[in-house]
Amino acid sequence: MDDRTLTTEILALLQDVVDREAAHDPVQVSATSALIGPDATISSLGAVSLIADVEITLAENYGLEVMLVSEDALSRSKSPFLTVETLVDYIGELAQR
Amino acid sequence: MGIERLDPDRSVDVRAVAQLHLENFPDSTEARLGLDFLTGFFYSTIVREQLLECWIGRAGDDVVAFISFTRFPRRFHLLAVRRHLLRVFGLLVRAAIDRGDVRRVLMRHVGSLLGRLRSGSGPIASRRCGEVLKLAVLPEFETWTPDDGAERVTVRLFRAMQRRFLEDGIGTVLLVVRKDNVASNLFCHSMGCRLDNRDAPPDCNFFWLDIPAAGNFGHPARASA
Repeated sequence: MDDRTLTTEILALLQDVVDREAAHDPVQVSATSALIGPDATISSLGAVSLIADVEITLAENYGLEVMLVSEDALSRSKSPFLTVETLVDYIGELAQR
Repeated sequence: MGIERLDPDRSVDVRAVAQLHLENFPDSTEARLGLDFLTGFFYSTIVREQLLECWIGRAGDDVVAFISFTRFPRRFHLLAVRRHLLRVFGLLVRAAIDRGDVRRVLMRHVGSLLGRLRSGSGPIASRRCGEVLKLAVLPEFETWTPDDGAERVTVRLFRAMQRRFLEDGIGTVLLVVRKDNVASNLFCHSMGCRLDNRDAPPDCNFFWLDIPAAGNFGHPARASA
């Protein structure tokens, strides 16, 4: 699994969510855009939708069937869902297990 | 416009909070007991008596979000019921007459409720902590930032809760979240809550939030690994 390709795919999914939520105020996303928390570029429901889209992409494009929001992920002191970058790192970790 | 503490004597706001509760948490015990229970007791009487505190987010005249919390985790219901036993009994009977699902809930829980009323404690009652009970926002206002601040309404309500617990000298806050509520799980984690499911029922996550004594509520999700 190539990190750069996966980042591009997730950014495209994130841009879709942002465009849906902020149709009147377009925002350009980047790998460091916050997905959750006080500075998030999307709502928490948007984050749920994005994570579901990412899970489908992982299954369809990489044959990786994972549930990203797990007790393991929520137990970490640094959230894997903070940005696209941290999410890609976390997925890489899951893929190696 | 902005956030403010719920005035339990302002019936229009109490009703708006109760409606948000019903829409967002239809399966909660309080919701099953109906609008009259929520307006006539839950968000009025026990807020007035400070067993429960509630803050609201307002856009214009409308209440669009709220957070409720208590200094009496896992037992504030019991304290409220003890203080107002007859009144609560009357509300429950009325709800049970009106609705079959309420009758079933009452029958299922009446034994454990009586037992807990006698003992007066749950597994966490002895700990010095607070509990967030509900946080809800109208979907169209989820990313809305009130005019008088820089953060979203849900984040500002969360900060208000942190400040109030800090003022009351409470160092830890419990947030009980259903495991299937992904959005709330993500929100709690992003606000710096840590997961510790000791004492938690199987279908729920117990998140714990430490209130920093210095009152610095910075960016919790960026804590180092």
